[in-house]
Amino acid sequence: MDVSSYLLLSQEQALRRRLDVIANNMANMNTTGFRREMPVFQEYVEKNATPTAPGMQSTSYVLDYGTTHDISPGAYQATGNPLDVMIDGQGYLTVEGPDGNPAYTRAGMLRISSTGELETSAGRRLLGSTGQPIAIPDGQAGQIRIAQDGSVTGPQGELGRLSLVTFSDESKLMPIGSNMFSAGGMTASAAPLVKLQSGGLESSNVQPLVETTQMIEVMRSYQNSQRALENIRDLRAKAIEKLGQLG
Amino acid sequence: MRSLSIAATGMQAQQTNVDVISNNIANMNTTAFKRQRAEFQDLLYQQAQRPGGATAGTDAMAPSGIQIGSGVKTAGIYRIAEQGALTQTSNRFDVAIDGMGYFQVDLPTGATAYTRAGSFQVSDQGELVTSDGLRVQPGIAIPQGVVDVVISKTGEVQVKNADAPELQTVGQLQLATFTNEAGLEALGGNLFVETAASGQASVASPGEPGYGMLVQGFLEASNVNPVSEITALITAQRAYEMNSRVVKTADEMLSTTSQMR
Repeated sequence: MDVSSYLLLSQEQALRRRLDVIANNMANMNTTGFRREMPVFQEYVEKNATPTAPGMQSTSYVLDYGTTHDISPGAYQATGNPLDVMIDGQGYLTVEGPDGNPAYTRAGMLRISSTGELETSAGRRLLGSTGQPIAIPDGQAGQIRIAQDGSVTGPQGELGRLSLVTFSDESKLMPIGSNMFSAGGMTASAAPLVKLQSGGLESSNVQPLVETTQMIEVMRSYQNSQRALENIRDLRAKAIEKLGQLG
Repeated sequence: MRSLSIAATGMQAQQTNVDVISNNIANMNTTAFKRQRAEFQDLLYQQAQRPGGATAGTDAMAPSGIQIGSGVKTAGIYRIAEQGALTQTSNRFDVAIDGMGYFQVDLPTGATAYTRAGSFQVSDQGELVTSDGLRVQPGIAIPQGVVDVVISKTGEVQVKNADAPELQTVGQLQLATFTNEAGLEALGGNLFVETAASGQASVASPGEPGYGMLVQGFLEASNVNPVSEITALITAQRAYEMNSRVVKTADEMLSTTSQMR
């Protein structure tokens, strides 16, 4: 059976998926702590039961395999706000996730909630190393300092310590939106080597140049595969014409 | 084709970003203006294939799964309560707050608003009012025929009469602080009102622990940093352009598809 058009269809679907991922990366170009997503494709080989020629034993399709994220750090962006922290190293801050389980984030835009606890810009409470939220006493909001090891100090001493964790394979973390990741079955371990830098934020690690180049590549491949489809169609039309003349 | 709507969220977010930056730049010279910042978050992810799903029998699992993000959203517009520079005006009714706290003023509705813009004046009733004529709380009456006014670091307002050698205390200015300053709602006119997010105001005299000091003859400048605003503006504009480029690419791909024969 002639499967060439199905092969091209599988390629086109993969290209559309790639553009979706690129579009999401581009949309999040200015999202603090965002990690670039990368689609992974795989070859799916189908054995041909009745090969018509020696080279025709198998056909390979493109198959969606997964998305991973680029774990390279984003650039440091100084803001001068003492409640902004950047994670220096492969670590994550622990927050209370939407389902009650801990979630992890690299977006260090911290603030103080109306109940006096440290929270993220998404309104998720940060968890300290003890697993409890960090409470800031009344009137100390403007005098909070966050040290490199994650300890939060007010004018009257230490108020708690942010929980910095790391994972065996960061690319397996699952994004759940609002700058958060869920552990995806992995266990978080404490990260003593990871440091916090307050007064700045980590910008997203999306590189506009890379995304734009990939986008052009996607578009051109898509157009090429469309052209190939047209050629196949012409070829078939010609074949039918010739065969008709024989009769 | 999700890319179209994903890129649209990106363009909307950058639009908001430009709006916030332009407001900061417009208020570069507004007394005690606090700069704002748009904060962004990635939107939800759709799971096309769950990580850990079996791919070939029970032994082979998809290690990462396929998650397609659906763009970006504005999480909030955060006000950065960093201290602005104190600029000397030599006006005796100009009072800057060095540190935390807000002056309280009476709104015409009877509610209390909060401001850090201490460019006060005296009304025809002899009361201390803001430049908009709103009465400062607690009310301070400046008697007629006063030759000098001294406002101490701790908020004590003293006046000197032409015929008396000694200073006479006429009132005490107070400051309000909030658990979550960023949660205050801006009314415009340099005024804020408290919300559920900001928490209740706690009032004390200036100079108490956790409260700022007053500086007479100075005003607090806005904390907008023009250089960082301009660089943020450039970044936002470029990001907008690139998202519109995605829209164009998606459009071209769709047009290729529709021209298929």
